[in-house]
Amino acid sequence: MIVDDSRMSRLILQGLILQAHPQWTIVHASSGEEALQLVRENPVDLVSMDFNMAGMNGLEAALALREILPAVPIAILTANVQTAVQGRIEEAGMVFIAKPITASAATQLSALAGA
Amino acid sequence: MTVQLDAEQIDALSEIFNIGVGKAAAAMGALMHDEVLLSVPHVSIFTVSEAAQQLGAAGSTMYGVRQPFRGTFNGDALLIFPGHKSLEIVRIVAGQSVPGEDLSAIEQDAMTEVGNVMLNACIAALSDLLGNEFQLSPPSIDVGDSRTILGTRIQNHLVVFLHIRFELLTSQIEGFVVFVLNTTSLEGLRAAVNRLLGRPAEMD
Repeated sequence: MIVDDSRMSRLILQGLILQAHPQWTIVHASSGEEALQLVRENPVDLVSMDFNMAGMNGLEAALALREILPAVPIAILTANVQTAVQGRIEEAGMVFIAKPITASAATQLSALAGA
Repeated sequence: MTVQLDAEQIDALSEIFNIGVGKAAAAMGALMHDEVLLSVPHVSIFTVSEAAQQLGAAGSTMYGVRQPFRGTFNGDALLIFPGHKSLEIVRIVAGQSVPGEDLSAIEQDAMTEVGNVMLNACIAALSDLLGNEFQLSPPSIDVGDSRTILGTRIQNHLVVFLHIRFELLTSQIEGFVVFVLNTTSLEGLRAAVNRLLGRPAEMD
């Protein structure tokens, strides 16, 4: 599942992931709140979460998702590369991946699903 | 309106932004598949009206990505592109990765993402070097002339005008990064720079 308020970012990441894993199904959410709704209807194996979003920020949404899906790896994929932010994400047990969305970022993300 | 920065403070700020924009250029180069050439950052304190004049002739259309930040001082970081280059930027950023999409439909989204990556890298350098974390709101985009981009502020308010001209090597796209801070925030910035320079608090 890709959670990002930028549709373009979702499409770019989806394109890069599907190039490597064409059999994967990608679910899109444009906010943390929508992601929390969608995971109740769609089984997910991996979550990519933006950080700076209106409403819940990515870390708040990721922590709430982990309550529902404790075994699913969650990466925070963000342009907010402040050391303090990265530290909070990693302290919470999430994986920090810096934007921009590149093939390397997509590979790093896919690896979390053991792919 | 009496806030001024001395030569040493200006030099420190220029160096902070130099580091930030260097990181931003690397991120932007990866996003836009191109080498990014940067001018030496130049920090000035201008009124909004003077800053608008620096950005270009009144009436010329520009895209401005606005990243508000809040912390020990508050402000808006802006990434400004000439309007006529916007679709070219979208084509570079998204053209190969999202085939079949109507690029004009994601034009503002793509411009916002370029600004998001570049401005966040600058703010991160500011945060790391000054030791203050900034809370960031989602970025937004404005289209219009330089006064519109700088916002509906009182024209004689002071702004920190960080002028960095960047150019993408093969696509010849250039733009500017500007930080807009009001007078109260300028005091906060000056105090933070003084701490970085090891100056005693009474000199703030």
